[in-house]
Amino acid sequence: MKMKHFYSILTIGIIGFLFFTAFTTVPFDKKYNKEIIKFSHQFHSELTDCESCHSGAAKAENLKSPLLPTKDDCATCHDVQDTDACSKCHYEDVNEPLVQKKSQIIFNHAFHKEQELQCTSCHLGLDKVDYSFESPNSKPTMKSCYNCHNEKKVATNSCEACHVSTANLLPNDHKKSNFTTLHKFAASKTNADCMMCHDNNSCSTCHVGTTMLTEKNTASDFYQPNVPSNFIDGAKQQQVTRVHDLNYRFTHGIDLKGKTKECQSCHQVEEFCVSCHGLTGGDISLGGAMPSSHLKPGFVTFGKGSGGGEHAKLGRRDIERCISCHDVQGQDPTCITCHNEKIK
Amino acid sequence: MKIKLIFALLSLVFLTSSFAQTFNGRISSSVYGFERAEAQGVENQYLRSFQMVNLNLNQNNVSLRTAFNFEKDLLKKFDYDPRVRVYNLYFEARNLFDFATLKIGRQPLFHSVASGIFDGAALELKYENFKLSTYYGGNVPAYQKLKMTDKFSEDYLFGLKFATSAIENLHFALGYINKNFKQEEYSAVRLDDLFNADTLLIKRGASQFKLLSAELGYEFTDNLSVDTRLDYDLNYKKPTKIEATASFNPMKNMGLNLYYNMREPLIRYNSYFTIFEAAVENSQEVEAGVDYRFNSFLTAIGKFGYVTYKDENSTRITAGLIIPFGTITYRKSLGYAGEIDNVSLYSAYPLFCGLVTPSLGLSYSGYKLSASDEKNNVLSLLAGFNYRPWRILSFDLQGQYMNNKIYKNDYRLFFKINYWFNTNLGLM
Repeated sequence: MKMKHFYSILTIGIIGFLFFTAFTTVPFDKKYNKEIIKFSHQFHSELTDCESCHSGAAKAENLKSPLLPTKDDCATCHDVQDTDACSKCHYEDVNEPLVQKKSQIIFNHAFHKEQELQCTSCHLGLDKVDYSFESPNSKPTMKSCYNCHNEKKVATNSCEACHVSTANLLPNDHKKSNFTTLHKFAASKTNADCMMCHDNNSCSTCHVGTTMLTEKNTASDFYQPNVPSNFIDGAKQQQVTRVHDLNYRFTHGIDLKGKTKECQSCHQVEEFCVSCHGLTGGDISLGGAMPSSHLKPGFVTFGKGSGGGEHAKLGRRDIERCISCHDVQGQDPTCITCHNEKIK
Repeated sequence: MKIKLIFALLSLVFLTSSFAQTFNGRISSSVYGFERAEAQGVENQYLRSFQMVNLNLNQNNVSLRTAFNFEKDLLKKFDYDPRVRVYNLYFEARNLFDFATLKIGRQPLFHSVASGIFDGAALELKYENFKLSTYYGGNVPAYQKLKMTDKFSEDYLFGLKFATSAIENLHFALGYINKNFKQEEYSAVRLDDLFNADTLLIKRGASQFKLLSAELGYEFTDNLSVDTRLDYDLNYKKPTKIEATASFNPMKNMGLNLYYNMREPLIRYNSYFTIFEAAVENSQEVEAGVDYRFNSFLTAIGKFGYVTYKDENSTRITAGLIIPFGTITYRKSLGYAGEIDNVSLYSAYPLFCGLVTPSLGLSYSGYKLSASDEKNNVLSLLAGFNYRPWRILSFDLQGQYMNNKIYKNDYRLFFKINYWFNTNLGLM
C-alpha cells in the first residue's frame, strides 16, 4: 500500500474516532438538583449562613469531597422525622442524594476558608436565586479567581495550581477559525484579560523578534527563543512543536509567499533568513538554499528595455522576500551591483 | 550613563527583595538531543541543555519580574557556551496614584514592528475607560545579553498609544511608534568615476520604522462586531497596512468571520531597499472562516483565504476539529505561494487526574514550493508523556521522528523537568 493511502486511511480513521467519541461521550449527569429537592438559596440566605448547610465544604480539601448539604445538615433546622412534612422539600418517590458535579479544577475550600474569605466573594448571586444553576455567576469564573491568583498578590497564577492538566486548556473564544490572526484585536482592547493566562513570558513564546537578532540556528549558533511559560507544562513547551512542526524548515516558504503568517512577528528576517539561505550555511539541508527561481534562465536580464527579467517581476510583487535574504547587515546587498541609486 | 542605569536597576532589585511579600517563579531544566547533517556524509550529535528561570518578587503593587535562560551543549564545546540570556528584568509599580503603572528595565513590548523586548521605561496611565501608554528605550543586544546597546542614539524605540472604550461598545486607539536600528559599518569595494576599484568604509545612518496606527472597533450586538486597524508610514507618507475584520454569530454555537488586509512591504526607512520603494506592489488578502460547536466536546472550524499580488494569486483552505483532548487540521494551499496538502494532529489526554498525560503529534505534508518544483513529502511524529507526581513538579519526555528529503528517519529526544513555586514570605 502506498504511504499516501496509508495516511489517508489513518486520517479518516482518526476523524471518525473523534466524531464517535464526541457524540457518544456523556459529559456529566445532566440531572439538576432542581428535580431532586425543593430548595431556595434566596430564602435560606436570609435565615442562616452558607456553612450551616454546606458543612462539608468548609472542611473539604478538594472538589471530590462532599460539598452539598446532607440530610443531617438539614436536620439542624428541619424536623426530618416528621413524615407529614416530607413534601415540603421532597418530591414524591424521589429520595436520591443530591448530584455533585465533577470538576477538573484543583480547589481547597478549607484553605480558602482559613484565609477568611467569604463564600459570597466567589459564589455570586446565590441570594437572588433558588437553585445555584439559575445564577450565571454562582460557579466562580476564572476572572474571579484572578482577583487574587495573579502572581502579583498573595496567590500564584500558575495553571498547574488549579488545573488538573494543562494539556488541553483552550477557552471557547480561542476555538475560532482564525484566532491566530485575530487575537491582536482582542488583545488591544482596554478590557482585555489575556493576562489571566498569558503573562509577559508566554507572549514572548512567539513575539520574540528582538532587534539585531544574529542567531542563525546553525551548528555553531543555535537559536533558542524558549522562555519559561506560565501556561504549559507539557511537551508543547518546546517551541518547534508548539509554533511550527518539525519539518517547517522545508515548507515555510509556502507560508511566507502566501502571507499566511507574518514572519516579522517573531523573526528579524534580515538576520534570520540569510543565515540559512546564504551560500555558506553549515547545514546541508539549509546551506545555500537558493530559491529555484534564481536558477532559471532569464531570472536576471541586463540592458535598458530588458525589464530586468523574472527577478524584477518577483521583486515588484513581493520585495519582502528579497529583503529577507539580500538585506544583510555588514555587507553590500547583491542588488547594489546594478542598482546603485542613492538611498533615501 | 549605562552603569548608572544598571546600578539603579540593581538597587531596585535589592530594595524589592528586602521588602518582598511574595516570591514566586518557575524553573525548567531541559535537554534536547538530536543529530545534525553538517555536510554530505558528515553528521554530528548534539545535546543542548536549557535552564529556564523566571523569578518574581512582589510587595503589594510593586514587583520585580525576571526571566533568564542558561544554555549549554553537553556533548560539544562551543566558544559561546555557556550562554545566559536575559529576557526580562524589570521593576513594576502598579496603581500609582490609583491610575499609573510604571515599568523600568528589560521588558516585553508587542507591536507589529517592535515585538520582543527592549531596555527602557514604560508608563501606562489608566483612568476609567481611557488608557495612555508610552515607552522609550534601547534595542536589546543580540543573544539577550545583560548589557545595553552601545549606540543608544541610533538604536532605540519610542512610542505612545491612547486607547478608549468610553463610548459603549466602541474601541478607539491611536498610536505612534518610532523604532530605530543601528546599522553596521563595513568595508566594500566600489567603483569610482573612472571605474577603478576602491575599498570604501560604508557608514549608514540608522534605519527606522515610523508609524502612526489607528484602531476602531464596534460591537453592534452580542452577535456582530467589527474591528479595523490602519498603520500609516510617516516616512513614506502612505498607509502601510490596513486590516478589517467582522465577526458574526448567525445562530447559537456558530461563528462566521471575514477578514481583509492590504499590506505594503515592510521596508525600513533608510535601508538599502528604500530605492525600490516606488516600484513595489502591495498584497491584499481576504479570509472567510466558520466555526461550529456541535457540543461541549467538538468544535469544527473551516476557513478559506485568497491572496492577490501583482499578476498572481494564491488560495488556502483549512478545515479542522477541536476536541477536549486534541486537534486535527487539514490544510491545502494552491497558486503562487506554492502547493501543500497537510494533515496535522495533536492529542494529549490526562489520565489519573493529570498524573500522567500521554501526547501524540503527527504532521504529514505533500508540497511543491512552486509550480515548476518537484513534489516532496515530509513527515513528523511526536510521542511522549508528561508525568506530574505533584502539582509543583512535572517531568516531560518526548520522542520525535522526522522523515524528509534531507533527514531520513531522523530521531530526536526531549526531556524536561518543570518546577514552580509561590511563597508568601509573610514579612509584612
